[in-house]
Amino acid sequence: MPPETPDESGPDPVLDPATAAAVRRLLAEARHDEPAPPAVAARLDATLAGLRAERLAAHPSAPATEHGLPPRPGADAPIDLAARRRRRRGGVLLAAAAAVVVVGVGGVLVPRLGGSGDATSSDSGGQSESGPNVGQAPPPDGNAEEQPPSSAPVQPNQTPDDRVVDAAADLATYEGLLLDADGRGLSSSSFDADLAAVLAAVAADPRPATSTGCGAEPADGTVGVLTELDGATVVVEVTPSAGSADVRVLDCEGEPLLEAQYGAD
Amino acid sequence: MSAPVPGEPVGHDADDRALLAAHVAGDPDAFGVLFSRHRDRLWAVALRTTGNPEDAADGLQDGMVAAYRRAGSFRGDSAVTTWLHRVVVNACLDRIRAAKVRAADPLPDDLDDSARRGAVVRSDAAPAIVPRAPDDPADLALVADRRARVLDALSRLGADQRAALVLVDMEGYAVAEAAAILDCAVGTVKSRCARGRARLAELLADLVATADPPIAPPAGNRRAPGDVPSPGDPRGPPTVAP
Repeated sequence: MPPETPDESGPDPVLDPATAAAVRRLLAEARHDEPAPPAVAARLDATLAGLRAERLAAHPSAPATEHGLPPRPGADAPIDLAARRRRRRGGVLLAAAAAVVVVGVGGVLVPRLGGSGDATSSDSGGQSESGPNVGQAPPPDGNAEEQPPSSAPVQPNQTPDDRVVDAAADLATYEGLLLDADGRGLSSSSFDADLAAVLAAVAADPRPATSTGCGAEPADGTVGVLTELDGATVVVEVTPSAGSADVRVLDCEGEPLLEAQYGAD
Repeated sequence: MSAPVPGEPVGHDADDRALLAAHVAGDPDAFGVLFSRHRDRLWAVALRTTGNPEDAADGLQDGMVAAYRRAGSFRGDSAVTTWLHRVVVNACLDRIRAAKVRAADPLPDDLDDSARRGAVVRSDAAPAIVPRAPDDPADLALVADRRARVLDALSRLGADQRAALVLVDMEGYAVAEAAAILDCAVGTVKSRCARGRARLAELLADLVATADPPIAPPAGNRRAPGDVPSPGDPRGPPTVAP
């Protein structure tokens, strides 16, 4: 159990019982009693179906465990996001020790209602990763939500790896700072492309993350980018070097979720 | 968590722990059954914690994905429903904090942003005076008016205070259970509730002065349609802490 700490400094205010009871009665009266809207339920069902498909696709014929099933990714064993890249490059990348990120062999469709986390997928052309916008409703005032500024132009022949290296080089002048991804996030199913888009956008319009609410800080000699990975707040720690870039994704406790190296062939 | 018999899916009437264990063991349907049991209450908590339906839907989905993937980390120290609430509330709070970081603006701008995202808590989105439909009794209009005012005031609190009040005063959780959900000390929940109520008393002074007795039976702690039995004793309505 965490230590007993007051919510704020100073003594708690004391309401007279009648006032406190009245406030509590007003709150109870404002309780939401309706079931989840059909659009939300459908969206959750679609996401759950994607999770199930991902799980089945990840282990179609793996050896059984004591429960008769293969080890389940995401619970105890880390999912090695870097493995794909390691296979591709012959052992360049390092796997994270405690990654809880599931790499979609089948890819989870994560539909969104249109929250700020959508920007990355669309920025990186990852519409298929973000899935259908089940139940998306227009803003009540009819205005589209303000979009983040567009990323730096993408050269047609550049791979995501190249773009990560280029963006990391551009970010080198901000070593030691934590920058804000401004609503852009990462998806484990399109990580490389998302990372390239996020870093390019941050390099094009660097903004310091003023109050993170996240305990992870970039190490000396690195640049931090506050963003999200599959909806969870993370800090991407970038270490630029000549012709390459090391990337670590840290959770808000500072624990590495994954490590990768780009452009070191 | 007890392990189910390998290869045998559990039934839909299995208890929460059995369903979670079955999911960890690989039952493809168990998590869906489990989550659907609690979905409506989780939705209500997410909606009141975030203050708008879009963020609530995002937070609920984030929480569901996290719970699906991290089910193996459930140690059984609390009820499964408490754990699910914790995962969802944390996902909602993460979203609120991330939005604040992105905006890096003071609270009033956050509220404007929420309104653009479909907030249901703004006083201008929910008219101060609910139009009186010909067939609606006046009491219903007054209750709707009060709800809009209360939600507006609730949205002005910090996310942590709001989450504590949603769990304790709206959903009727015991302080200890709310502390387990919020992963903080009991005293912290009490402090957040006390500070939140005091702030609400200021913001809703006119309602507080005329709030007794309620015009209609308060909705608090009434089971929503499709709600499922909680693993513990049924909760009573909120009562004033001694």
